[in-house]
Amino acid sequence: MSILEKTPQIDRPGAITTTAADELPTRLALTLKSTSFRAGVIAIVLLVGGFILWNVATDKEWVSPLVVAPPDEVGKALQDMFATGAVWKNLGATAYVTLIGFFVATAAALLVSFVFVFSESLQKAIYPFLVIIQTFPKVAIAPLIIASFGYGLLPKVVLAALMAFFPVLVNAMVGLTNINVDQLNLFKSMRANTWQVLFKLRIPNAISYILPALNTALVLSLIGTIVAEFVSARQGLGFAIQSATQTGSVATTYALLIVLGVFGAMIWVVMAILNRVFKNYKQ
Amino acid sequence: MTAALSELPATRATNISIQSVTKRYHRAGKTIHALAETSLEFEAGKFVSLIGPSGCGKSTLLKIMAGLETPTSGRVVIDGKTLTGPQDGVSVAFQKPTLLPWRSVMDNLLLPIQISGKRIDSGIKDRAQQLLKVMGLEDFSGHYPRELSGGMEQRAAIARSLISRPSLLLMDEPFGALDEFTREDLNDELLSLWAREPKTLVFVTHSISEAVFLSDQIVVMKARPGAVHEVIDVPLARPRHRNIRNSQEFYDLIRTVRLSLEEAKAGHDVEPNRKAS
Ligand SMILES: Nc1ncnc2c1ncn2[C@@H]1O[C@H](COP(=O)(O)OP(=O)(O)OP(=O)(O)O)[C@@H](O)[C@H]1O
Ligand SMILES: [Mg+2]
Repeated sequence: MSILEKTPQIDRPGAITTTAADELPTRLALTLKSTSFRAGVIAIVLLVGGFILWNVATDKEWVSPLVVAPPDEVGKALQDMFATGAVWKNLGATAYVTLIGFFVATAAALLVSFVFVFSESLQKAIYPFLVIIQTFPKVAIAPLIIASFGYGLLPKVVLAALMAFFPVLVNAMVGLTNINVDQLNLFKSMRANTWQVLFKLRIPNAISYILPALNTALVLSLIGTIVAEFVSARQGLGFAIQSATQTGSVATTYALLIVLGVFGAMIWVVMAILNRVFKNYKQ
Repeated sequence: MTAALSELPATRATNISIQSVTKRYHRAGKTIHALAETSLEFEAGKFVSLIGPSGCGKSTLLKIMAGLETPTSGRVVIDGKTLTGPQDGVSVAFQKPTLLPWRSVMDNLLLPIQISGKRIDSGIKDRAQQLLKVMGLEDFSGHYPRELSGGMEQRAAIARSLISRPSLLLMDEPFGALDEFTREDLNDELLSLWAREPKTLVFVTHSISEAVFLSDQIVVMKARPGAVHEVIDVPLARPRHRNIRNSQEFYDLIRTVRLSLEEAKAGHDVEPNRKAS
């Protein structure tokens, strides 16, 4: 408690009757109890623990250096990547394909979902085919896609978009059609036309369904891109991982995985922000 | 149809006549007889309540009048025209508040105006503000539904049903979710709004005292199948002040309605001679 008592009192004019001295320990106690604080502590413990374990395991050679590279070597590999600028070239290429694939897939999925909303018979006719295509293991057909679309940007974008398309389509369809009966009756009673129902009810209703799908789609698009780069590419993180593995530089592979992880975390942050912006759309 | 609401002539009330209407629902191979043959006249400008046990077809009847459900047989005639679907000038307040969560309270209120293609001018905004004030929501116009209590949501929905000055207002248990005090306050407000802007009002409720306090006529319904059991006139003078709730006349009417409801629930006439009167 001695540290607490020495903490300078926060001067807050207009604070309610309690003095800062009374308030501070309670607020601290509340912070200590809060879920996010505890989650943060656990996360840091896991991170630090994992790092220490990694150090010890490689130092004592519990695991072969061919499987797990020591942290200092990985750090050096990371440093090299940034020094030569190779990381930016590869990350840029991967991000470019991922984003194009994602946007193509999203646009296509939204378009198809709108068509399906307007024509139930089209939906019933086409949807089964989409389900079948969806069940294809796209990773396995990657070489086929590359072969059919040449070696440029196109096959990679196709693979990324194929991965990302389906979750957006399904959620958009559900969001556009799964309308609260009372809300639909409200619009009918106001004599709203089809377009008004679409723009003022169906689309806003669909937003809360589409947002989580976008998150999934972006991650799947990234996976599709990496796979495509494995199969055929001269740049990109997938290509770099592939060549690092082939040349046996485990440390570089690990460094690239870290870069990939940071990129994934950035996707997650962007989506979290989007979710905040559209928080009012939750039904 | 670009004329602003404030420039429109004062609303008139609507005559509505229900002629031998029945309603059956077919679900999973079963037939639900929601309404047996029902005929009712709602005179223009009257305040009529529907009361009856759960499942007796009150909401069904209201939806048929709103043009949201088509009767299995019979017809609904509004001002001489047979109803084929939702009509202009008819407004519905549903059993649930049914606000759009992505719109602020104010934007929810303005939705009917937007849908009707009318311009949102300062006159409409003033009216919306005024309605919010009547409903005790003047400080919440920028808030979103999820930030409101259930009762506040219901009040916002009622304000929305009034925004376009309907000539027929159909309300399905609008105050069902409110506490007794708020309910009585809003009963007063509803009556004064109704007096200022004449309209035919059909009001579903489970509260006998609310029905007696508000209505010119009370339609008592019975269930399985839903049907009209009795129509009771409420001869209390208007304007009605809340202290009429303590009058002998009020108690007598409550007793009459309660007896009628008991008969309706029992499925037969407890006092057959009284019904004829
Ligand atoms: N869409 C529907 N499909 C099938 N059956 C329905 C439907 N709507 C209503 N019903 C049935 O019709 C009957 C009357 O229902 P309704 O909702 O009109 O009752 P209510 O008098 O409003 O009851 P409550 O007081 O509980 O709101 C019930 O038996 C109900 O199950
Ligand atoms: Mg009902």
